[in-house]
Amino acid sequence: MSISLFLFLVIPAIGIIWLYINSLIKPRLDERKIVLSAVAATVATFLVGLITGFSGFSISLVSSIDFSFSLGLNSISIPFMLLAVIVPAIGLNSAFKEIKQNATLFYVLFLLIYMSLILLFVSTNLISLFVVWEVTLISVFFMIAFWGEEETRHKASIKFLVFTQFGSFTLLAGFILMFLYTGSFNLFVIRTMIGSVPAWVSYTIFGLVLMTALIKMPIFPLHSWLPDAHTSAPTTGSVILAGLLLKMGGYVLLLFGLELLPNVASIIQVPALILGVFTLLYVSLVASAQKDFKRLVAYSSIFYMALVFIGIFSINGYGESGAVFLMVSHGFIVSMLFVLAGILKEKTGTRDIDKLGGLAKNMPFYAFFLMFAMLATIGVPGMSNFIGEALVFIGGYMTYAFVLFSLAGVLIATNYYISAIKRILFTSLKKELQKVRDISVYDILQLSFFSMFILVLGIVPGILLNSFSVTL
Amino acid sequence: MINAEYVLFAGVLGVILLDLLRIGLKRQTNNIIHYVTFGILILSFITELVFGNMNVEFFSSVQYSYFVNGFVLFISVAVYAYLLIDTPEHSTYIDVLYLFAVLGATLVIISSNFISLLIAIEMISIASYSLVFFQKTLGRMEATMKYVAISFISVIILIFGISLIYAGAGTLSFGKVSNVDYLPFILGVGIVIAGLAFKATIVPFHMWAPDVYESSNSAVTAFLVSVSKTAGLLALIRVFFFGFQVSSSFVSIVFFGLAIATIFFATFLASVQDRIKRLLAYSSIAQAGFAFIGLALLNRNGVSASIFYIFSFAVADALVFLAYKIFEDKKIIYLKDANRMPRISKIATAAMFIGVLSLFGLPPTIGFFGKLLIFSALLAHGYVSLVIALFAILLFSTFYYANILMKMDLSDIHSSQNEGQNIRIRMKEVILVLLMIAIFAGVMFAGI
Repeated sequence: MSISLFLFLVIPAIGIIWLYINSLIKPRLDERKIVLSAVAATVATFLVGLITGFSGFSISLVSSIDFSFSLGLNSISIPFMLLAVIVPAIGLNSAFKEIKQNATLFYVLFLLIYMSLILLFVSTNLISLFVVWEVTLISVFFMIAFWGEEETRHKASIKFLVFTQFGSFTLLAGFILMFLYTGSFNLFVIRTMIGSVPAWVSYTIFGLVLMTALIKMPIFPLHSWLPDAHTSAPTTGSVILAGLLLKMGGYVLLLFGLELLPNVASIIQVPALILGVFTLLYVSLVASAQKDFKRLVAYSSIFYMALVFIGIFSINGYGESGAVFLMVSHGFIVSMLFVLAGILKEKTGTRDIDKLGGLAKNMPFYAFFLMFAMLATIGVPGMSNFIGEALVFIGGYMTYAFVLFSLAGVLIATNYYISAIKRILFTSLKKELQKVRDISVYDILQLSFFSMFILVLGIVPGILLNSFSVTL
Repeated sequence: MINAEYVLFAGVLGVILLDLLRIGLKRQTNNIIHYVTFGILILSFITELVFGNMNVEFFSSVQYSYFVNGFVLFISVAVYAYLLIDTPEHSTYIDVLYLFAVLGATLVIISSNFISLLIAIEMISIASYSLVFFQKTLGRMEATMKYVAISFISVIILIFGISLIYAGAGTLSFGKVSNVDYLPFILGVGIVIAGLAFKATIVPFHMWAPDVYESSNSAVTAFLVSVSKTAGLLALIRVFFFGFQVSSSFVSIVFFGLAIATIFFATFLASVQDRIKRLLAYSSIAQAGFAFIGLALLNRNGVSASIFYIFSFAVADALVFLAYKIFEDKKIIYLKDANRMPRISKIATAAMFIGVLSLFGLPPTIGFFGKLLIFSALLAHGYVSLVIALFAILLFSTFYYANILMKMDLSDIHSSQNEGQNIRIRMKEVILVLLMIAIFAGVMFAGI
């Protein structure tokens, strides 16, 4: 007996309805219990599904424009589903601490994002994919606009929405073109028919999808929305944004760019690789100059997405699997870093690295996890990023050797992370930080979950690498 | 054969007679008349659903009229129910005029002759003047005068155009045009575009719209924006797609020019407004431009996209203006006051929210599917650069739509106290919920 993918719509939806009913009745149940049970049920369903297998689901809504709600696994669904199911679930602890105002609406948005992220990676109809794609964007926009930091939230959220909305329009245009030339919005039908479309159409489709990916991942000239959005977002918003929304860009680029139109991809391979390497070096230099710890993590997440971009455009098995692996591994690591940044703000009241120092003395657990996450992110062997980075560099080197210039970026990244660790944890303890207490048991549990996934993926990468296949 | 139009016409006469009887009996209360009017509207909606359109000499249906008349009557019923709750003591003239306007709108949609079209348009216009005037605001005199004057000009232009068409073609029936004398005919067609574009608020014939929309009662604005504008756009579709079959590239280019001008002008002007109602008024003009661009293709694909788009924005605009009425009563006029909205009514805030999302064109609302159909029709006929321009302008509209949504600030919905909840607001919310359901369920008509 296999698990129907439809359950991933039903379970969070029940959670949303329950939250709504709960807001009407008295006495109210704690919202956190409801959202926790909905998320736990989803995670359990996913774990059972991993053992028994998933079965698709399809219902046709409007036949004349081939709009149907259909779910099914494609070749790279499972790793992304793992990310979408696990990361927000672990990140929930930050929301429990942080959200005081109007929790019901926040958790409704949270469950909406959770549901649509999972459905995004298993949608096989392009219109239903686009619908959930937009629902996530808009929900994250409201999360930043309503619960972000008071001074910057309006500006940052509008900037986020305008940039990503542009990406959505290009994606939608690409989808409409696919429909017009293949007669279907179904992913698998398009895959069989795409060979017969005229050359200019396939170039246009690839260009549109690439544009979406450049904005979402993000890659150099279009990246400026990301640091602002992260700095203003609540921790849960940052976790979802960095852990999953950036990966949506890589996902569509793999699914609609590389797998659908590999011949177009090979034409622009060299400029794309140069752009990736440039972004990587540029962003690592910019990150070195950051004073705000969260902003530093935000820039470093662009760094890793540039590495993913390089992996995707090396157009060979190593690069592609490295890209997928790196996306999953980075999803866990960057979420852990954002949770740590949130704790830093919560405990000390600031994220400015210059105002911090010597925290290792008062916060040994925090210091341990911060060092763990930073070592993981710079790719120490035994942790998950190492495998992804190694595969990407192998794949890149097999195509064009100049990709190895990006190793210089890794060096710079190591430098700024080590110096950040030194300044936050190991200089002399500042006077105003004397009374800072260590993290609670829930925080330790939350961070241990992230660490567990990072270690497991680093030590036995085979479990993830065997769960998807890159077809070229 | 019984039809919605007969029911409405009989209703108009019946309400007038009943009102005379009431005056004769010296009864002060006019509630009974209101309920009769409401009953007639519901009856006409049901009749439309059951029996469909009428087919007589001057009025005949085409394949979409059943759907369009259906949603026009649906919105009319919703707006009247709202008006009934909002101003229970309004004069009985309003009832008669409202019925008259609805009758006019349904007749425009099925007109198959220029004379019947002109009369039907006049029926909406004359009724609308009084409906605009009936709200007791400061600007009502100015707005009504503007509306009356410009409408008269538009009617004169329309009649002039019709007479030229008669000179050129020798007939006023759509579909019977053959052997045209080219020069007066094409001149007439051009002038008819201008005449009808006033009603459909296509730039540069839109100048009355923002003032009139802003100064009238928001429920009346909802009627003007959805039903009256639908009638104007449908008249254009009826004349230029089903009437003349003028599939020349020249007409197409003129239409594209008008549509793009409408979208760009209205979007830019909307983005600089600080009053919510005026912003929504400009946004509704931009919506008309989007609907018009489907017609500009002058083929089946484009027109059916256009008709679904008209449906989507009519429902969404009716929803936002009706929801805004609740806030307007509590003196929320400027965008900066929008954060008080959740305190007044949560359902109305949600309605406004969903309505704006649909106007913006975000899934899973019908606004998204309307835009999807329009873009897909445009791309299918190779207008790639036009689609790029429209995407750019949509991106620009993100600023002001997102601005309204953001200013609402739903984050303290529960912590704040309710300001003056009462039974009347509760009843209005029921209507809003009905329209909200339509915003999501409307997608099943996307294949029309």
